[in-house]
Amino acid sequence: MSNPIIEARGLGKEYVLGASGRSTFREAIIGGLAAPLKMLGRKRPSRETFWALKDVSFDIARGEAVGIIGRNGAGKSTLLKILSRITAPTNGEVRLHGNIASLLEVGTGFHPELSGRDNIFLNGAIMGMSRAEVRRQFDEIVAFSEVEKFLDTPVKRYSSGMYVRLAFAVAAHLQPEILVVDEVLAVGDASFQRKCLGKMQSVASGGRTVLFVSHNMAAITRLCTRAILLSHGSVAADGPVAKVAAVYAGGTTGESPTEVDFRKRGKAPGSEHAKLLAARIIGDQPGSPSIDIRRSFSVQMDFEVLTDKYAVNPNLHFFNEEGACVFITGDGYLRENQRPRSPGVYRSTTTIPGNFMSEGMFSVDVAISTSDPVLVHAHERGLLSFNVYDPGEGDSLRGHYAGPFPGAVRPMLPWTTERLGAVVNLRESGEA
Amino acid sequence: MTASNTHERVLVIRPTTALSWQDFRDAWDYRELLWILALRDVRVRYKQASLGVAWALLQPLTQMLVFTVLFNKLAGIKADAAVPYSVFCFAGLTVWGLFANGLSHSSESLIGSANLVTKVYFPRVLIPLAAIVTAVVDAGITSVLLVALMIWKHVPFHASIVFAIPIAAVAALCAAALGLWMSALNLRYRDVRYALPFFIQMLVYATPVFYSASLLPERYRVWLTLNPMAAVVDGFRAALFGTPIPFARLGVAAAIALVVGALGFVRFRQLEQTFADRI
Repeated sequence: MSNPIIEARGLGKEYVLGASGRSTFREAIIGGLAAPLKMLGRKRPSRETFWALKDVSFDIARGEAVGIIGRNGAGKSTLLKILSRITAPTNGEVRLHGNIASLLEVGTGFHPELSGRDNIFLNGAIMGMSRAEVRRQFDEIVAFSEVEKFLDTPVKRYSSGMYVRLAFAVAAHLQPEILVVDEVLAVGDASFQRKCLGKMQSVASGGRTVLFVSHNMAAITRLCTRAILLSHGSVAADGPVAKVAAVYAGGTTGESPTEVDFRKRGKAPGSEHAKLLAARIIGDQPGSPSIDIRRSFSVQMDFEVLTDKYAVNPNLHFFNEEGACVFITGDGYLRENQRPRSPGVYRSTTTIPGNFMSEGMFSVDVAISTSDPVLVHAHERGLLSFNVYDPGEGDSLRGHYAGPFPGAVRPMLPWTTERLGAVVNLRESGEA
Repeated sequence: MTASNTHERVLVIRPTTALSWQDFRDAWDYRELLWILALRDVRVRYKQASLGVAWALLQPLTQMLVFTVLFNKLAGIKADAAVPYSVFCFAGLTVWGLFANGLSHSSESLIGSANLVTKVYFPRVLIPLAAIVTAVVDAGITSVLLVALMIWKHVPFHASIVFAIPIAAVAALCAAALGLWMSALNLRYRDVRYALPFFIQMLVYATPVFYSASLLPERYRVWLTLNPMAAVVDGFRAALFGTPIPFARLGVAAAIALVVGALGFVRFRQLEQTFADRI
């Protein structure tokens, strides 16, 4: 990285806990009077502080699209605020070799009493655009916002959708060398979101540097090539999105989320009848928790049958980011598996087809159980996790659509469409 | 990364508290925003109120009527220039209003702009300054009424009236100087918000707004030098009514305002870095 556009060195931000650092005259006066007394030996009572960021360093090259990811409270918004110059760091520094604009919110400074037209200029100026710049792009902004008819109406009369569209239209026409975007894209209706995401992607591919802050790995995987994972205020991982996703998925335990081997730990979960020995995800790239949405992958589990009293069946429970169970699968549907197995070590493998899972993070409960009578020998919650991403090459269900794509699963089902005949013009016949 | 691009601007974000060229460069880059923010405030204020612009006139006009009845008719205070007391008083209130409104608007301005301060960067100093600009606009509207009043009361116009504008600028400067301090301190000590209106109210008595400085015994008059607004109000009226303008005292007033303002700017810059954390 010979020519970084952002250089962050040892950034730290300390917050004083409690009354948001606000104090009163009385405290200041009493503090001032008490100060000489304190010098007479007594220790100054230390205020409780909290480091929201600690020793954060990174370089970002010109034209890179970098995702900043982390759980709530990891320091993402603090970093964002420092980069946007909203608050100063407590120590360290950032060097920016280009002008920066940040979108922590769309419509910052919008005034409800003013017309859409006035607000475009106001918001543009607040975001750092010159009047001439806004005027030059005015028509484009208006067209993008789809609120032409209401330009001279005070924005307080706008629907929330119109408001957001207008606000985003201004933001989308910012032309900084560095664009910092918070998760503001979760606004507006679906078709408008698509437009915004498309606009963002064109910004990134247009040689501009984009920093995208989110706790949603799917969105980051789609938009960025590199990710920085923040955890407890420090950089926990920095590198290609897939690798960082692996660390993010691994959580705080540090264990590889794609493979767990209980034999190495010396203690296998289970009952007197069966024990779970290991479980692993086998994708295209060994050891990577990132799964290309189009490719199939396998989940494998090793287990030990200790008695031949019950039929013991391995099963897997898949949960998405919202914690909803997407599906459960097991081998008990086969006649031969409904009988007790002879004691020994077994390996079961199942294959999840490509174009079936939706994008996002999934965690897997790994269990071995008996269905008749109902016995759970081992049930390890969230033992494995992986990240399904769509590289957006157009041959997934997504096609070239870049917007939000809901659904717990995204199966590519067989479709047929055939031409039935000539155009039937219903409108004309209706008028007649 | 040395001389590859000499035109490149490097922006350094660090926990500095020292004033640097970057601050001035920033303020200059964002100069358009000052007008846009001021324009927003003016528009919104007059758009929201059904009486609109009339509010800018109603306040000094009522004050003038009350003062005329109380101090002129009842207490027998006279104007020192050869003008009716009502005109004398209204002239004082016009320039005083510029200061008082500017100061109170600007001291509240940062708190009122929390949504901006926590969401986007621009030199924060524009916020209190924009509040001053709106007070200037109000004073401009009041001045139109003042001129009308002078015509109505047959007060002669003098060439010295041209000095009224730079003198009013000193009033705006005083308001800006204190406003920088108060807006920043208001975030730290919310007491400011309660103390300041009281302070402004007291100051109107310590300033020859509804009385003439010549009413005061000579030995007390020295103390008025410490109050830059005394010189401003005196000077403003002198410029309007053609009496000798106290240039020396105005110079002192402007100097005091400049020093207070410069210190205020430095302090403001220091506090600015944590505004978002305190708001």
